[in-house]
Amino acid sequence: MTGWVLMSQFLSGLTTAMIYFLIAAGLTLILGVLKIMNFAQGGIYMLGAYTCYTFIKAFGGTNSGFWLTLIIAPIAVAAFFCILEALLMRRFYEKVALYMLLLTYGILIATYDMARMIWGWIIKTAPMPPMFQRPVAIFGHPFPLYNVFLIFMGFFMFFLIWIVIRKTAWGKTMRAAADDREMTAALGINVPLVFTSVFGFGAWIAAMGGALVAPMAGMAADMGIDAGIIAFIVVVIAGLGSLPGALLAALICGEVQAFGILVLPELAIAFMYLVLIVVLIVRPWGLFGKPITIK
Amino acid sequence: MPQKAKKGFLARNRWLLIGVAFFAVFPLWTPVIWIHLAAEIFIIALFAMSLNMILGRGGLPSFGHACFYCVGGYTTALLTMKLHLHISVAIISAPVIAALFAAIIGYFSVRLTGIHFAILTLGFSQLVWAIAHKWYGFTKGDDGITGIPVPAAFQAITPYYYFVFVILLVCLILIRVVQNSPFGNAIVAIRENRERVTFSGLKVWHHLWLNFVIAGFFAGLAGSLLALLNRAVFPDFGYWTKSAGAVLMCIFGGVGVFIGPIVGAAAITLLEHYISIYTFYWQLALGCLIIILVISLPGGIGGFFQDRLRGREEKRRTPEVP
Repeated sequence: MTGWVLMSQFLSGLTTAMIYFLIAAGLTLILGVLKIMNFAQGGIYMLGAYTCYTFIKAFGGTNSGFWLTLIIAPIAVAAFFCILEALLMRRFYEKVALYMLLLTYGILIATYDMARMIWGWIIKTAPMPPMFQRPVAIFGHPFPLYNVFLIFMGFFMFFLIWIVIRKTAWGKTMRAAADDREMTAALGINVPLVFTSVFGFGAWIAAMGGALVAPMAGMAADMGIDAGIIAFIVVVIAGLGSLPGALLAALICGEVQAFGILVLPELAIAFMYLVLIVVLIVRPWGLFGKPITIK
Repeated sequence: MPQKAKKGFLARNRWLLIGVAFFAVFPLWTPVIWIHLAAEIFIIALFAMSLNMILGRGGLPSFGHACFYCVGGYTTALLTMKLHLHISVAIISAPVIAALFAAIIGYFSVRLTGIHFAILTLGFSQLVWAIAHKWYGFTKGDDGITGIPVPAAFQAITPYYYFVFVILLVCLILIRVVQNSPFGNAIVAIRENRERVTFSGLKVWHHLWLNFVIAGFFAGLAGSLLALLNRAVFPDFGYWTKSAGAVLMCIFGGVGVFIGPIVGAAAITLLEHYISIYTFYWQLALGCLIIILVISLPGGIGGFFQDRLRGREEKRRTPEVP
């Protein structure tokens, strides 16, 4: 029995970790290429969840409706943030990072209230698609099928992002622009367009995280505030701009939280912050980051 | 400038003195609710000023400053409620305890810069918040501590207003003195060029640490004052959104201007207060306003006016060159 308790705790930690990873992956991409701390990331995640809710309802809660939603909802949210980036943020990359921070914080609290205006103040839950409404047996014990699907999707998204960054021409351009903006522009590449697309891609990943979480947990407008900060923690533990690091750090955070509940239920949230503090004191540049000089 | 040197103290600080005089007579004709709001703004302004010692002067974006605010508030509450100590002891020990926390957190944090510094301070402050939030036996958890006994003199809001006002003025003078001292200049030098300061033989780490502790001290004092104003403390004093809000106030008012954080604190608190009268969705309005402000006034409100004033004086001083 205790073996199964540990196992189920491990699996639920894995589920949480995948959601953390999806928010953090978009954040680390935006941070790595655009060099901005995007506070709005949590808001994007929250909008992804709400948009998914609306689309699932519109399609009548069918299986095919769910798959269609997973394709449409994140793209819709990403398109919205692409427009925001082009209209508001584009002109500020050259300015001090602090103003960028203020701007994304403004966008975060604006989206927060926008969601409450559109979807109301009551906690909403999207209907679970029928094909996932049954448990699977893992070592003879029932476990929700949807959680298994979510864990699978987390790893799938990791490989997808990895291939896009490493193997496509666009990924190459993106990495070039991250390394040297001016040189890339001098080679005739439209750098502002690359930045907008990277921001959109990052937003798409976070919105996908939100959409995947929608049928599983209740959603409220403030879900993005905590999620955004956890994403920052994951990114910093990982080392800025590192994708495999983000996966590992998300796994650590998710598991520490899941097992922390077993040990000390009251202080389960505190464990993650402890891990963060220890990592930053021992290895300030994160698990996978490039060492920085410490004075 | 010879012209500037001739000007007396009164002439140089006329706007400041007008402001002080205005707030000194402010409670005489205004309704109680405004006095309460003004006292709250003073406290938040002190909190934002203390943050700006790290953020604006030191150039380190702290996202865990609310921790010291929270510690100050809880120190006052626990000392008066559990140990039944005199209120003066509770007020004095709050900043001291907060400074102790700042010494521990700063010891690890000031080695880092940029986002790493931001997230490490955030981690520490969230840890303190989690403990205050969940340790029911000691801090009463998320219910907070209510009913802090307040001496008879502070029962009415007006005497307390003056008390806060005087403390704010004294703290502003102290912060000004610290900022204008060789120590304060060294902090700015470290912000501008850390390597050069290191090579010139200054101990960078010690300076930043001490600066962090001083900032924590003033934040603790602000937390203690707020606890007495509300007669209650809640763990959410130390939640990261409070820290982010203070960062927002500093940038909004202008990090490069001495009274910038005060302007920002007043502007944001008033906006929150007045927009929330008309609509539930005050955050949407505030968010849009922030976006507009960032686009139109980079440098904050304070920076904008400072540039205007400076520009005017410079125009007066320097003759037009064809």
